[in-house]
Amino acid sequence: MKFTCNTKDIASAVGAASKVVNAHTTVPILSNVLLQAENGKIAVRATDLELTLEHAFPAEIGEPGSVTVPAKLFSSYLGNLPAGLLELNGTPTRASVKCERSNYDFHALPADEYPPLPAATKGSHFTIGAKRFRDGIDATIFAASSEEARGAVLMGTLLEIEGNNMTMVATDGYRLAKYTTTLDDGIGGAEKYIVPSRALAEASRNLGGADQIAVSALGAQSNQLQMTAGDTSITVRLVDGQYPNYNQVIPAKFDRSLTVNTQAFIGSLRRAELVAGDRASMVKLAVSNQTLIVTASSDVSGNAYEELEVEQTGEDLTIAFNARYLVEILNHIKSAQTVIEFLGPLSPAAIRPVEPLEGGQQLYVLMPLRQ
Amino acid sequence: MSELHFDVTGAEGPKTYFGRLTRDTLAHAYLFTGAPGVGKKTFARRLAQSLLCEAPKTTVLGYDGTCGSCRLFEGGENARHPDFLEHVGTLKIGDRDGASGFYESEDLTARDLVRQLSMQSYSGGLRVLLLGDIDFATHHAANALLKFFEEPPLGVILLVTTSSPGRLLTTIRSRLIELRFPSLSQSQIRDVLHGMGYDEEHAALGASLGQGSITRAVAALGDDEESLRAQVARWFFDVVGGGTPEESWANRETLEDGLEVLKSLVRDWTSRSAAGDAGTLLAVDYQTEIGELPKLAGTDAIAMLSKLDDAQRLARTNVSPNMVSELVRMSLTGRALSSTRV
Repeated sequence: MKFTCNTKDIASAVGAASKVVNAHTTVPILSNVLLQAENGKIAVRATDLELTLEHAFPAEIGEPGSVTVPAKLFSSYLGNLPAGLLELNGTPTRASVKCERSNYDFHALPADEYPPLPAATKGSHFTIGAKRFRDGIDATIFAASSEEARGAVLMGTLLEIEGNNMTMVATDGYRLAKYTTTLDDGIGGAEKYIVPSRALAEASRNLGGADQIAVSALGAQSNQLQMTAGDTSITVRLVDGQYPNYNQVIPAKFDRSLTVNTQAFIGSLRRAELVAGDRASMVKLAVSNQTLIVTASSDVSGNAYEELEVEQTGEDLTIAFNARYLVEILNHIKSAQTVIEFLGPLSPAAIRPVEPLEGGQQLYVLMPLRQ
Repeated sequence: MSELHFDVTGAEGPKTYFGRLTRDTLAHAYLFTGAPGVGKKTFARRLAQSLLCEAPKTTVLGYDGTCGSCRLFEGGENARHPDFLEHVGTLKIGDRDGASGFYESEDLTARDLVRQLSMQSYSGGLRVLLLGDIDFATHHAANALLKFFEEPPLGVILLVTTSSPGRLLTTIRSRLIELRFPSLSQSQIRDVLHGMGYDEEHAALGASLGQGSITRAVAALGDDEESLRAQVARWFFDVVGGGTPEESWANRETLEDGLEVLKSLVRDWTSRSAAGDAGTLLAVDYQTEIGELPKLAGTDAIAMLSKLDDAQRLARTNVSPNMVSELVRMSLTGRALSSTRV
């Protein structure tokens, strides 16, 4: 293997990939990044067996082939190179790098020992606008569980594909986030994937350089999902299990609602939460006469009282929520006004923006607290 | 169809058992028991390789050794197949950090394994988890995996090996299909040692000293002065010679093997005492030291071996290793003095 490339290109690709690598891995080759030279490009790949990140950049290929080099060391070395050209000669045990008047030899491991990615699953391929995909990730993954005890399924985010529609759902049992959008190019039938939320966060961070994201399932049983935008792809192992029927959590009808200024409401809740203290951050919302009264109290801190002007429909209501959960949801609503719908003080409330995101619909469901 | 291999010495019973199974009749979890060094982990690794081998086949046992999956098993203990997880020794619960990725610590932990088993297979086939010489650091570690022992996700095969099945929680042991691995014959150990590059003389010596165990045979052949066998032998001859050993050989890892070495030395002492030079020795490399020991009375030999049996039973519990070695020392000292008086 032999190629010549720009130092900036390779430093950027190896730097991004090395973030996936774990220095303390029990499998030595997973400490390395894989460099593959073919068709005028160098593909840099790193994996921790849960998440695989691959980034390609143009290069002059002298001899196609592959080599693996220690990720952290190689990344640090490349980060300290001046702008210019770099020549790399790779063998199964050594990667020799020439840059200006310096020569470095890095110990390598044979590239054929690097875990290969499985082949694509037939018929499970769709494309989606990159912005809509990132909006969906941003709108949902925060609601996924971070408690191992609740199981890996709830720590993941559900991607439900049906024809030309995609629904993303995340829940930790107390709150639920749902985002619905259309695909640029859908699939024939219906598929469900439970994707680790950490992987979606990485995808959102790394797949920003293109207008469209191509998503393909890999493996005989669609075990992994590959998301590709331009020259960057993220492949993730899917969670094994069945996602709960989330539609059961969303009330079919509501009998009252309020429309409130999103930012003003966030401000009130944040101040009231300070007083609510450790009582599950409980704040009470009382809706009456087109006014929302936010109250909180604790023996230690005192009492909080805030009034907000709202548009109210239906009867008066008093309901209590965890302020932190409510603020987190409102923080993901870009619309100036937010609608909250209720069905009594003990039923879940639905929260949605008045003005939806471009190309996507958000819906949040939050369980109330007993007062 | 390519030629299939299954290079494991001995283990005839388990080979016959798995030879009769198909993928459809395979259970979800197995417990391999037997003395240390009889090939339990080797068998489990080869079984994992067979289960993940991509070559078309109808049997459970056997791999072609050349497919992409088999190449990731090259290196034995350092297999790199992404759907084969191996942990040997004490398993800790691990840190609670839901945001981190896999392999955040240098050793796999119970939480890592729970997380791994919650994910789908990397390659699309089965996933195999080998817990070798299993010992749970805490009940929390055992309980974290209990659900998976009880009902692993579809396509997961659990292989557990131990030389002390009594130490396992009954709630875990009852969920595993137990297969006993017999000790290896001297000729089998000799063949394995030949394969490892030992010459005829050393292979024969190792086979004699190994007492059915490859691990013990290799340890006995180690010319390292600090090998466990050398340490235990020094300690033994010090104690029965009336001296006070300067160092202890006993810790959690060495206790059971060390007691086996002591038993073989007492056995040789008994044999030499009863039959003189005609008595055959296992520890031929210590024949001079054994020859210099006082004659051991038959009743004392029986009592000494009985005490060592007791010590081995104790060693399988959580009792302090130093306390076990002290009990053995007191027993050997008393019997040695009484034999001297005889």
